[in-house]
Amino acid sequence: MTPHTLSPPIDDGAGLAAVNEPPPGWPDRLLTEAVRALEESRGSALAEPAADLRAIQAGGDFETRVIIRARHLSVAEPLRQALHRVRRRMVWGVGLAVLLAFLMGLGTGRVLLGLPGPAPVNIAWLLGGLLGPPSLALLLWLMLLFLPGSALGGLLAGGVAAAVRTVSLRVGRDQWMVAAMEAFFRLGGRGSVGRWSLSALSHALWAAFLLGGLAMGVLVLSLWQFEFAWETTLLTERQILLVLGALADPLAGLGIAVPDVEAMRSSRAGSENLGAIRGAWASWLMAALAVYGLVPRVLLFALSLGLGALARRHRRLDLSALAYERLHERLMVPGRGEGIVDPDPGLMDPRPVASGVAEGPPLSGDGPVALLSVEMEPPREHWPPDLPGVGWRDLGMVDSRVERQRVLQSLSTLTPPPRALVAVYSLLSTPDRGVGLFIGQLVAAAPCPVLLLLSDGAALRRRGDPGQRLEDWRRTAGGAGLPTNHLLELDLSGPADIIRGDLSRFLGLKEETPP
Amino acid sequence: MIAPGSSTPSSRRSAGQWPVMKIAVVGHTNTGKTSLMRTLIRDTGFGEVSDRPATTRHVEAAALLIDGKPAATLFDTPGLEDSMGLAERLDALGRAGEEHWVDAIQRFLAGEEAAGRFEQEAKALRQLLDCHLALYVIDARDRVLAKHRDELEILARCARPVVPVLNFVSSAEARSDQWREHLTKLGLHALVEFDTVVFNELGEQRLFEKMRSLLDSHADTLDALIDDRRQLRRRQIRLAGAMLADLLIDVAALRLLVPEQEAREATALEPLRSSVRQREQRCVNDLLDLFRFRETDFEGEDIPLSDGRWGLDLFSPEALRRVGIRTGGGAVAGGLAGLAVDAATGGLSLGMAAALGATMGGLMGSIGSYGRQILDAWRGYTQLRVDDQTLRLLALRQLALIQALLRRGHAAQEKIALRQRDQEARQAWQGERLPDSLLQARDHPEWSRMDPAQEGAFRPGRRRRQAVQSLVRDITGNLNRPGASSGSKGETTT
Repeated sequence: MTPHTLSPPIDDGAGLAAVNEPPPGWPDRLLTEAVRALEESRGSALAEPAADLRAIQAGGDFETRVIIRARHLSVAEPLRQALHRVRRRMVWGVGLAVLLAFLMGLGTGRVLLGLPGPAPVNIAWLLGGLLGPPSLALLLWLMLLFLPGSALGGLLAGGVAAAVRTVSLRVGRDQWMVAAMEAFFRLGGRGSVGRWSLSALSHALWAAFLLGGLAMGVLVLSLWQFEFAWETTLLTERQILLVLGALADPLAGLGIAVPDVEAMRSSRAGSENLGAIRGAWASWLMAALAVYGLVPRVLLFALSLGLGALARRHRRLDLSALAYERLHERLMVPGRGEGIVDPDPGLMDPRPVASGVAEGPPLSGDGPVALLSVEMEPPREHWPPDLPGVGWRDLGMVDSRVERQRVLQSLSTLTPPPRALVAVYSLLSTPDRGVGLFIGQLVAAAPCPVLLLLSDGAALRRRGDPGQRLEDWRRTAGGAGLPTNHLLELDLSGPADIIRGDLSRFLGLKEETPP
Repeated sequence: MIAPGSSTPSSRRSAGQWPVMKIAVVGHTNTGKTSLMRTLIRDTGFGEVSDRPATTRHVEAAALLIDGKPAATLFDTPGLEDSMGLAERLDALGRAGEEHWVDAIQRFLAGEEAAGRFEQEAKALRQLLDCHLALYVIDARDRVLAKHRDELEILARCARPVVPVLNFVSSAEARSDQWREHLTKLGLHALVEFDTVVFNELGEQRLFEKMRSLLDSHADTLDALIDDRRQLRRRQIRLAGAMLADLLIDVAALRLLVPEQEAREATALEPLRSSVRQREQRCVNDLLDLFRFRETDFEGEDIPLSDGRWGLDLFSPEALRRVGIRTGGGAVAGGLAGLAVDAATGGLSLGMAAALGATMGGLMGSIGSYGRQILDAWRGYTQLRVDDQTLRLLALRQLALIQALLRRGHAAQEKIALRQRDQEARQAWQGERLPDSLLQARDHPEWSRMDPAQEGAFRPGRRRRQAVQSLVRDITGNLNRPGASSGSKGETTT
């Protein structure tokens, strides 16, 4: 059976678009991590309910909420600036490192080539010296890449990054920079983002190095005259030519002028006329450096940048840290108010205003006093109390509808007619509309004044301050037409003499002379 | 139909969609319906609670969320005040023709009186008809009266499953047995005792379980709710332990240097004391925040800092014991360095380097910490620290607070106040030696956030984190003991 919908469907969060928030991106995640680092150093989460509220309203999963909260914190602005400064420092550091690599490349090229001397330059040694370290590093990088779980993008790059970090930590340290740096390195230095960033740096450094070597090589070879030869003692001519030829063939395919097999054979050290093919060898050397050294590095650099950007887009925060767990409890509330779905039309105030009558007419006549317990049992002992001049007509206890109807009907037919009706209620029960209605019905049906006796005062006081409850009873009685002095608070579980005394005063009887 | 337990709630969670269950919270006026809502949604700010009749006069909704998504909606309704009159009316209406009682109620709701005299009751009934299930809240201190019978009769006519919820069962005036008997006679057996002031997590679980037994169509949702609340509880205990551990390490590691002549004056302790006081206050606020209470819910006392002095006494048993620990820590670090050397030399040194490293590490470590103290003493400074007794007191106070918070329902109105008596009752920390992590913290002043030397640039290192983790384990061991974190029946509010 489907209930018909009365209330509006509950929405699980307005969604980012509804609260005008752009979807989270990499800078947001950096900011969030920086906020976390800051909160960790301070020891507790920042108390900004406004930001929390925005996050909760935006809805979505926990990560989204944390990010949106971070955006709206008061510390977001200084942290963003600190992150900018960190990025700038990194850029400077990287730039410096690249420049250094370039200079080292220049230096290496210079050292390896030297100046032309009497002996021809050993072509194999030259190429090995220039291409060897970068190629070995590339091999190492490839191996580390396929090593599972490693974020290392290159030992050299890692070293550079660590150096920048250490220097930064010593210079210009405030809480914003510390937090920003921690965010940068924790988020950007680990996982696949870290791997591709470091790889890009690594490739950039080696590319710079090779460029330096290439530049120096071209410069020196343009201005000086060298002669190249290969030599070997242990290996055979065929083996050497195989290697050199293998290196030369792809270059020839690219259209670069390289020595052919015959020219290579004739370049063995000690041969004559090495000068004729020096140009070919030089171009072979430079081309090999470019094609086997520089170009792969440049391509890999571009690839690393691309993969890094992709990794940044897919990177999610690691939410297992303690600081995030604390936020979890705050942002992923287990319950929330949804507002009023059926408002109070305010037509009638259910709480009656007390009637203006403070004093009712005194009791007259000499009929019995009718006694009625409503919704509570009368006391077992000394009830009704023995009062001189009072004949009690005990109507018993009334609770259900049937009993009430019976009592109301019997009231008009009581003989002899009572001079008053005492209705006993418990203060512990809430004086609601139903109570007021019945008191009104008693007032209407009774041929005499109705007096209200409120018991259980001691129990009420044990629960707390009785003031409001007593006031509510007064109002309810007043609303039903009872004057204020027809109301008595008297605890029927109290001492019997007090009960007798208070009750007799209430009924307007003469004061009993104290014994 | 998916049988209960065959699909784990977490697998459904990944589907992302819960059929939203609608629950109406109904009952006589002033029985604690709004309080029940507050406790279930863990929000002290929902609705208005007072001891007067007709406090709630509208229907207000609240959602129970799992992972931020609504799983159930609770509807707080106006209390039933004139149930007898209403029952009479409905009886008169229902006698016309043979129809289901629920149709008679629909006709009543469409009539004039529903907008006039019985406006409040009509609101409650209308909401109930729109819901899957009703929670009928009873003040267990009330006598069982005819008007309650009439109310339940009316609810039964609405043809919705009803779960009676007994509130205020922890009070001495509660008449739970009478109610139970009465409700059983009416055929309502799935009754729940749930005190909104003294929170009992088992009580909440039983409430959901009873609802589940009556409402098969939302069994998955209720299973997920039970699971989620249980995990929430565990998380809260773990986090509370972590906050306390953090506080204790901050305080244990704190060290202030004062010139020796100043150290003998009474005012020398004041900066230490105010640091510790502020830090404790922050921890208290964090704990209140964690359990979703307000700062105004707690009244704290000032902790007496008996003697914050830690003199340099190399021959005290405490100091000698510290030497033992210090050596242990240093030795391990040194030993590892030695092993690395071994690997590089291909194991040729046959472990000698390892042994040597261990000795060196131990020596350096001891020299390090004592070196600092000796240097300070030589320069004429004394270290002021928080002593063990105060640390214990701090721990006990916070543990008492955590336990009080675990037992506090969100409808509670009184403030939490910790009494000295309560703390002495907790045996766990009295008289035993402090946990190793705290003793370790003594030797690392840089582990304290309040360390003046690290103004603004504090970073918790790996070793500090490990110390915190180990301390958390010690602490949560106390909190997870059976009976430690649940309010039991008969206990008065703290």
